[in-house]
Amino acid sequence: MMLNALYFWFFGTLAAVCGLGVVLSRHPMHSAISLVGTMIAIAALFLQLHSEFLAYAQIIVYTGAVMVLIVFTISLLNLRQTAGNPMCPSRWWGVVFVALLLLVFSAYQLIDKSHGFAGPARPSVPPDYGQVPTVARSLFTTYLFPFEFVAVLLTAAVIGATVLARQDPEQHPTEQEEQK
Amino acid sequence: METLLVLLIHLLKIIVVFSILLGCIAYAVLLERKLLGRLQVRWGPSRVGPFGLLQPIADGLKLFLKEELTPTRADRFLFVLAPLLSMGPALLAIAVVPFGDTTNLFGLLDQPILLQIADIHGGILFILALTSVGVYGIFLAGWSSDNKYSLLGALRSSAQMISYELVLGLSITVALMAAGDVSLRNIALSQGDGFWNWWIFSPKWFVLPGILGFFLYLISAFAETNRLPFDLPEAETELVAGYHTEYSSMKFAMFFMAEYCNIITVSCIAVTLFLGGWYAPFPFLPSGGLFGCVWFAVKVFILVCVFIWVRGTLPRLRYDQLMKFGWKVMLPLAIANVLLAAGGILLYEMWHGS
Repeated sequence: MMLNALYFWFFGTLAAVCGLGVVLSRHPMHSAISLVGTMIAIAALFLQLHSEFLAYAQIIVYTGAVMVLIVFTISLLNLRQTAGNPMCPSRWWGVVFVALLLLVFSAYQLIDKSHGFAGPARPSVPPDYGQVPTVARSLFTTYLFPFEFVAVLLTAAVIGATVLARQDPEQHPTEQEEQK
Repeated sequence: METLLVLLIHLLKIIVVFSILLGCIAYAVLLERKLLGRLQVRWGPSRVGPFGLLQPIADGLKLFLKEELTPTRADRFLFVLAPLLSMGPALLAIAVVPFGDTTNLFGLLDQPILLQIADIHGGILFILALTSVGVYGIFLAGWSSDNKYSLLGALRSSAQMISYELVLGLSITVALMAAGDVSLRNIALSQGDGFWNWWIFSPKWFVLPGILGFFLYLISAFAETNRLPFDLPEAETELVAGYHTEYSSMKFAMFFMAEYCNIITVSCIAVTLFLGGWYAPFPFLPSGGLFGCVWFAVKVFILVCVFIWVRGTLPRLRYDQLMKFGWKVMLPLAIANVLLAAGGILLYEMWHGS
């Protein structure tokens, strides 16, 4: 129990600190790296909640693919001179407002379930809950149609993006060809 | 008392495995220099100690005592973080590799212990997650140095690693389908003594998908570890030394060690998935307990030698060739291989009625 609590507090704090880093860093690269830290910390918390597959998928997909692309883009933008302080007074009001809103909502969630501050009692989970074979079985039986549907949708999106981004050499002659 | 003993055993396992791993990294460097020397008809290091066996210690001392340099315009924090990010995941991956079945250390212990640090359910996914974090080490190293060669090297390496990660994942899938599990221990256990029971040669799917999967894995592993013929991120004729141009002393040593650590890990995974883990090549040879570790070590050693042999033999690819090869040859082959293996397994199960 002791170790469990320690684990939660360590990764919970890490997620919160990295989250603050995303907002408060001056340089976009530091924000992006903080976001990577947050994602890894949240993946660690998923592990504690018996969602093994979700934890690994989160790291492989989000930190391994999505964030790498974002970092890639930032590095190519050449943002050495960053604009002044992003936290001008009017933005602070927005931050305070959203923070208060979240605080009220989470407090309401915790207290409303009439379990006090301890939160809802942890439901007992079957021993193979969230493990890869269980998730795989439900993905390929119960949720087969949505799963395949999303796959087709994503493929269509990728092909669409490629078609849009690609310059047709006949319609848009490049500068070199114009010079000829 | 009981929990204390369990904790103690785990601590001992961690210490033993990591000291062996660090020793292997040091001597893998020597092995590489020696073997490359032989391949180029020269001796390789032979002056420090008998047969040059103390060379890794001399190398380590040299790196420790070198001056530590940080470029003035470097991003200090990320410049220090980058070597840690490439070394950390590389070392962590060994924690889930099974080296053998169980042992009670010749009757010393009442209950047999697993020859593995942590037997986690999602073993192979854990390793894939670690490799995807490892990309950041190289990328941030190149970016934070504020040097165009470093940045170009970093861009090349992350593009290369993302492209070949797909093939790596798909080639692994073949063994996962055959074993029906993602835990590395269960995958190893699903094979057996005798090389025809290993997934690379298994008749379960008419041999071909196993061999193809193994070679696809090996090729993408070369790309993932940034080794020749895929070492474009550090191509010295074009990029000085690529992403680690600005690094010196221990920080450089950490990148260097991460590379060799990755070679060893990648070989361990290949052995576990395709080459039967700790099982012996013929059924009449012993493979229980610590004998298994010996077989495992022999197989990993052979694969590491293959890595060095390829480095000594093949020239470097051009960057566009590398990308074309990855996306237009490797990826379609890997997808076809997954379908082929699935068909093979289906036929086998229909035939045997399970």
